[in-house]
Amino acid sequence: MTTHKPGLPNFTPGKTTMRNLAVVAAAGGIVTLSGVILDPARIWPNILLAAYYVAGLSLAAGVFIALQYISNAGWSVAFRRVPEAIASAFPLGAAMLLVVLAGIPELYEWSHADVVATDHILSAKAPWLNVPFFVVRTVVYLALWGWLLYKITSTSRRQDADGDLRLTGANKRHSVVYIVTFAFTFTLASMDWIMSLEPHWYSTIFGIYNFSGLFQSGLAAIAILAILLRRSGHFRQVLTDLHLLNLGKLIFAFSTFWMYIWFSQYLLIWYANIPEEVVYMIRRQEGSWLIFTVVNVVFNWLIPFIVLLPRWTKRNEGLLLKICIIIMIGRWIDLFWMILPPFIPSAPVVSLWELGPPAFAIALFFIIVFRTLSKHHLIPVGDPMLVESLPHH
Amino acid sequence: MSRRLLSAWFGGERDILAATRATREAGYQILDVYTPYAVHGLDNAAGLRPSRLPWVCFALGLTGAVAKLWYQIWTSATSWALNVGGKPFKSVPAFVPVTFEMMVLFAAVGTVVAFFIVSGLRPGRKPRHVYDRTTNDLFALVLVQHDAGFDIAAVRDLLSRHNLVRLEERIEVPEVKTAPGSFLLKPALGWGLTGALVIVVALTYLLPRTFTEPNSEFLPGMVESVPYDPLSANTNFADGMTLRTPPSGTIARGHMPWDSSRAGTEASLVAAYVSTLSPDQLSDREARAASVFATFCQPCHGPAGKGDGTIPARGYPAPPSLDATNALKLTDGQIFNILTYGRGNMPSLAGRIPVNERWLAVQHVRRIQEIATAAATVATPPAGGTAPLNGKENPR
Amino acid sequence: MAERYSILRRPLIAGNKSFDEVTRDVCAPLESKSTSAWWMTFAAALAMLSVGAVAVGYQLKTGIGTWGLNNTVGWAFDITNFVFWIGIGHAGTLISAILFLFNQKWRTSVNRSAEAMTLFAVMCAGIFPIIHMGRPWLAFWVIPYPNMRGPLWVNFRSPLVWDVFAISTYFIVSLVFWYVGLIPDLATIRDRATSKIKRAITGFFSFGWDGSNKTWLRYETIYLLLAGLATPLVVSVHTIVSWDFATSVIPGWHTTILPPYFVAGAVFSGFAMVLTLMLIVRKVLHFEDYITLHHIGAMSKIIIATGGIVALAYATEFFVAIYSGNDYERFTFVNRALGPYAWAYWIMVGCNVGVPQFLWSKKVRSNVALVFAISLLINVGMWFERFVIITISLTRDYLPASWADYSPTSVEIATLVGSFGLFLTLFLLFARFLPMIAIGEVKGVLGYGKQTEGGQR
Repeated sequence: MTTHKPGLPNFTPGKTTMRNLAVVAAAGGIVTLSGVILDPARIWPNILLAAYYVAGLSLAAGVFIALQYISNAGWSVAFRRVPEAIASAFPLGAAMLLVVLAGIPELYEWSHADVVATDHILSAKAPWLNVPFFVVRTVVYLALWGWLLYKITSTSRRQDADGDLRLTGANKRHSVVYIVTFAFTFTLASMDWIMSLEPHWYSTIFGIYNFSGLFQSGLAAIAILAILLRRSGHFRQVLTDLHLLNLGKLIFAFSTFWMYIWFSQYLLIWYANIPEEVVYMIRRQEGSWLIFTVVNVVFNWLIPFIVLLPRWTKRNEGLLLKICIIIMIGRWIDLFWMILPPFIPSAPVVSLWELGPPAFAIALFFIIVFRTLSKHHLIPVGDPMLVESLPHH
Repeated sequence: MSRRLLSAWFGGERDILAATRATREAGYQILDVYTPYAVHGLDNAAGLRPSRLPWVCFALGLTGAVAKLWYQIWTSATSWALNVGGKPFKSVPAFVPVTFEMMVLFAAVGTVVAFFIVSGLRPGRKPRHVYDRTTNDLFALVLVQHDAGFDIAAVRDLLSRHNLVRLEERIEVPEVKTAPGSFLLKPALGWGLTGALVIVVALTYLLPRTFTEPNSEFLPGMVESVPYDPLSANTNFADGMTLRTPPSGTIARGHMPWDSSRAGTEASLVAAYVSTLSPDQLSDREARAASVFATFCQPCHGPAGKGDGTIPARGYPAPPSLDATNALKLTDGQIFNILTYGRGNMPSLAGRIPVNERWLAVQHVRRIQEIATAAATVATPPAGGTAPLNGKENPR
Repeated sequence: MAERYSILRRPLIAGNKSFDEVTRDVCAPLESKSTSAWWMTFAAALAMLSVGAVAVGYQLKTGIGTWGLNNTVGWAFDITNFVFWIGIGHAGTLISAILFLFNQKWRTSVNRSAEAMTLFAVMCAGIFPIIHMGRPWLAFWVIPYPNMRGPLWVNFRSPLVWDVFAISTYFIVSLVFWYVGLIPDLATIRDRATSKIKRAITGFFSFGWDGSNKTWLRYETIYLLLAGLATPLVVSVHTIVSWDFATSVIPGWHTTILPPYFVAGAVFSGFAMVLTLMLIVRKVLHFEDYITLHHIGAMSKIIIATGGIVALAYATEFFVAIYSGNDYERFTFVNRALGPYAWAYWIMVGCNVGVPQFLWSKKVRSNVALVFAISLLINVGMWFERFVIITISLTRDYLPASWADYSPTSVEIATLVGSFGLFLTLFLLFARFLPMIAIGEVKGVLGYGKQTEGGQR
């Protein structure tokens, strides 16, 4: 075999970058803490949003890695350490979601026994939507995902030492288990954490809708980190335009998938016009919430779609980076659109309370990801598929 | 103008790629490369630019989408706006699916047609082959010997470094170009088509046709109804007709018999008239009667029937007063008759006032007479005062 | 410039073929006489087709009162068959377009036949809504053309009109896609043909293809464009079919998950049908080197994946119906599982959720007979899925006074048999006269997974 192995790049995050991130995280943390004391009704939905956001990035990275293993894909191996680092940040999202359990009374209408007692629908749902069962479910979801993500990432890293082919087989099995588990549990989890914020409303596509946004933002996060690593020189020999093209194609495809799912849900609710369902869309179309609805579609689909349609834009590092940042913002808008309307029905407000928790979560997320990246080989040198992913010479 | 071409055959992908690149870099003019399948990197080796067909695809897709969206809005909201299920006329969410489909249809089919055009592919086109096996297992590189500096030996040397299978020199004599569709100009086809046209026209004139019979219906569906039509033949009845004779004395709904000589007594006529009125009309009858009188009678007879209308005021002979003794003696039917046929200077009003409204005019005349009589005998006003005239109550 | 492959890769095409061998192997069925087996299956297919033709003729003459429909159940057997056939078609486009975009090279051995299957399945599907119109000779009324009735346009807000556009676009684009792929192979046949007539016919239909590199470059470009267009198209088609149901307010029909669920189900059933056909083709036409156990394994894995999505959708629907607290929703799903048509529901769950799980085992995936049996069962299960959704939801809706039952008449069953006859007839003709495997594309992947060059010994 005449594989050309580039010099193994090692990553050490810049000190100033880490310090700045720490400052942002601290500021966000202080805002969040003061919010819990000063305005719990406003801050808890935003803590939920931030927790769900960063947990989603790690879960999506896990899905990405698992899909590559299951489909025997070779092209993505070179930069697989990036999604692995993101997946390794899962404890952050998990911890935040556990913290959210403390905010159940502020968040969920069904947690108040007096409301449930007078409400036919809510009392019919009580066997599923009650605090103890909810807490148990949350813990089970997080434990399952955390364990499987750990299995996948650690197995991949172990392969660096000896390139044992059996580890590829083992990770394929882990990936299958992860995908199957994730598909069923995430459907339930999205309905528990997000859909039950408006407990009278239901939509069967909700799990898929949440997955589409989650995976889209996960891909964007992977692309952002990969491009940053290329810019800093660590991936100069590793990440080719072909990788960017493939990532760009995936982002383009899943952007469109998100739009497809969003529109499917919207059209069916709009068309059937059943009062108990359509109230969800009306609430999000009245007043300035309509702006959020439109911006949501523009950020998550229209801009990525139009910009990434030609071939050259997908290979253009700078452009792809900008699009990915737009998608990351779009993901926040999408979650805001899903979570906040019942709490601020009159109009969307973006203030310190809305910005604190996401700033905290994102900054801490990057700190953890950079730390993880610096601890291991930046490319999986032991992977038998690596030869297909590295640039030809 | 003829060209000298040099064809070189190779047996594999690597050889053709290397040979193509080498000849291009050596400055030879490559006419084309023929391969049994799409060899990746060959476009690069032969120095071809990427195709511009994606732009065609994009433009056509956009055209299809915009045109179809406009068409749906125009048909559903402008041309014939139909309310279906309470959905808005401009139901943009509901127009998305078809818009999308037309975008795909235009883009896909249009791109393929554009591909056929730019590549010169069309049914019946002769392949400009160099060798049959290029569609099977050989790869051919065709060079143009464009100037005297073309050194066959040097080229042969260059190519044989890449496992050359075969080399052939040939002179390409340009074919007489036949325009696409030139088969239409073939005489046999022309005569055949003309003959067919003549036969069709001749048959149209010569075949016997019956204009009194309807054309034959192909799958008539609901054109023929299952029940009998009123005028169709019917074997179930002795007279063979579907239409039955109604029992004697039947009056068609809404029909107003007025010819007193044929339709019985005045009382029955008035009753028949009243029976056609709805309750609303009954209560409104007085106003309507006054309006008919004001329109058709008052110009001559005047508002109170004294014969002092605007027309006599200008010199036309004045009619006798409606409350004159002779007039009081007239029955309802006789007044109706006068209205219908006219009398003296009074013309017939049959053409201008429909039957039931003539009865209303009669009624108003009676009312005027009542008022006049009451005014004359002040001491004894009639019972009921302004009781309306009703033929049922007051058959005279 | 040759690709480099990981040591885990294996060649896609067995037998270390040369280019000429590939041509000869694929053209062999076209250049030999029809076997008696072919004649027998063709006769059987024609017989089935005639049964269907007689049934449709009788139905046209008498009216759709010959079906078992009633006031309550207005859509049943016919629409079930329609959705079933449309779904079958989706695998062809998935293989030719989506797997192309995902750079899955193994698709080259099966894409030609799968695309042909798509076309035939869409033809079979088209029969049902057209005869359901009652007066099919007026079917052109669904086209919005300027007419003497106003002009009275079609109702563009109706999902049934969307269906007309989606399915006709799908058919046209699939046909174009298939034909474009066929042109280079027709040229190969033309250049091999010994008889003058065959050379003239294939010469006409191959459009003068000569393998020019410039044309190949454009060909590759439009192939990519068509794949990019066909991918959202195929998703849109079954999505729109699902909207026929989901835009209503009937419990069991109106559920927002229906679009992605129908698409996954369509691919699931389509792959089952591709497997059924390919396993027969492989055996009868001796294509074992082209459709290897690797291909069968890959298709089995797609069946597991899409079957998993279908199972997830079943579970989600059931869970949300219970979760919703809505009595009608709850009743509909309990009625599916425990009501008078529970047998249909459990056939569906058994065949679509239970049976595919056997494919997890590599032993089962390598056993051609078992895979064949599983693919047949999935076909049955997916037919019942549509029956369950369409018919059972209708038999029990909001008003108990209007509940009714449904059972198909012999005319309806004969029509279904006829549609299978049409499908098989067309497929057998295709297998007899056109190359079942994309010769040009297979030659392009001969080098896959090898450290040496493709097509060379």
